[in-house]
Amino acid sequence: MRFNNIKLYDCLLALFMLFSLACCTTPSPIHQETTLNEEQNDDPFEPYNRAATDFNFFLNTYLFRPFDKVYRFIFPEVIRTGISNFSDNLKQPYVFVNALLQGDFDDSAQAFGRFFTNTTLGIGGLFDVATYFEIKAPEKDFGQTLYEWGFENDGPYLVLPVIGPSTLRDSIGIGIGFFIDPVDWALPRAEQHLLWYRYGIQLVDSADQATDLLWNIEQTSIDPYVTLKSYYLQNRNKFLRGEEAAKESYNFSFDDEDYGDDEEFELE
Amino acid sequence: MKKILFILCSLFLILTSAQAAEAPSTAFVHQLADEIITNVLTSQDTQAQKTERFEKYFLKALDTQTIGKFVLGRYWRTASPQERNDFIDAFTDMALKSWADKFNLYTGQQITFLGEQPAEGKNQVYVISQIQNEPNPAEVLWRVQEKNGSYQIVDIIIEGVSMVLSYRNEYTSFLKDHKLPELTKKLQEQADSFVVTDTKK
Repeated sequence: MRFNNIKLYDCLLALFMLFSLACCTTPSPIHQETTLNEEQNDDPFEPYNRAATDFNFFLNTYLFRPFDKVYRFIFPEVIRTGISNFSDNLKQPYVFVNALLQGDFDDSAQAFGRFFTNTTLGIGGLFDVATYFEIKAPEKDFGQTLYEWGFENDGPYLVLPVIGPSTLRDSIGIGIGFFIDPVDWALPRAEQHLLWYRYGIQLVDSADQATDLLWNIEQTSIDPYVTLKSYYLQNRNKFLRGEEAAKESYNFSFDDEDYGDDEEFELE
Repeated sequence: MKKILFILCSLFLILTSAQAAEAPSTAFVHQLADEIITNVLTSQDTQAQKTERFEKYFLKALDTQTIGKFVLGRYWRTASPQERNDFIDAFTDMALKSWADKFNLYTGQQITFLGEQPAEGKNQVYVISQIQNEPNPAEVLWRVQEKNGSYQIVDIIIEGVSMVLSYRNEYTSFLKDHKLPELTKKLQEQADSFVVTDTKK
């Protein structure tokens, strides 16, 4: 089986450029405070997003979940943890580069130390020795780098097939992220097909992590689309802007007039 | 030997004084978490017994009235008292059962309390806690309301995701083109769809 990586990446990038162009020409009315509250939320891609979300839930129900059951049945937890560690370890160079690009030298050092320790002592990343040595596991991605560089507007909510919930800026970040991953550079041209194994392992691992959450949302939510979006945007907001900014979204007053009070009801 | 005894004694003193120094809201959540871990999550009883015990904690510790009112947003105002009660009952039942369905996810994670922060509104604080998770711990905030010396939880925020805000987004979006009794009916159906089994690992 032969894949032409570069072509696929070019297509993805072109798609993201197109989206970003669309975003630049029409001034986006989306402000981050409003995206977290469904009642005032603008979701210009909603019809597409709903279709993509349905597709992802469908994939989860009929592909990832059955696959994951078999996966969990065949491999004992020790092996699954090993696979997860291996996948996490391969992400560290990417974290390292993003931390550097963000000027976060502390986190870049942690990511470097983590990769070095786990690749050597942890036998190619199968064992997470770094956590034992109290080396942090910073989380960084290129969407966040863009945010740090001043692209503070998330842009509209955007659901990517297979990958899942995102925003316009973060989707562009994911697209560019494919190009700046040191693990990809390190591979000689002739060995590029190994990348597919890498993304395969990452997919298996993320499916293993996410499948229960998705299944749970589908089982308990009246509108899984809204719930997943709400979870994602709130969590991402905290990740990018920190606890204090996140507090603005959840530190609402319970006795605000907006949602009516008993007195008013009794007057009617 | 004496030295060891001395160390043990002082350790015990430090531990007890640390417990005593906890602010009342934190102490409330701490005790609740400990009791649920001991009597529900790590208990060897049947799922039905555990669910029953959990229900008692759940109903006592959560202010379902305040939460139910908030999650309906402006639709609370136009609802009749009967509709409100029905909604809160169905909502509580659904939330309770979906939590009870997840007891087996607990695999001994430790919870650490890190202090408190003021919250918007009368007598409310965030109790800050961390739940052990590899490689990074998960941050969980418990929004606690004090009323006449007793404490109740009004929201739980997990890694920035407010449960109450998420429910509100979900329900108000549904209510844009549905009536409240339809929502209540759907929630009740969901609650009833949870089957209590003991065959789960």
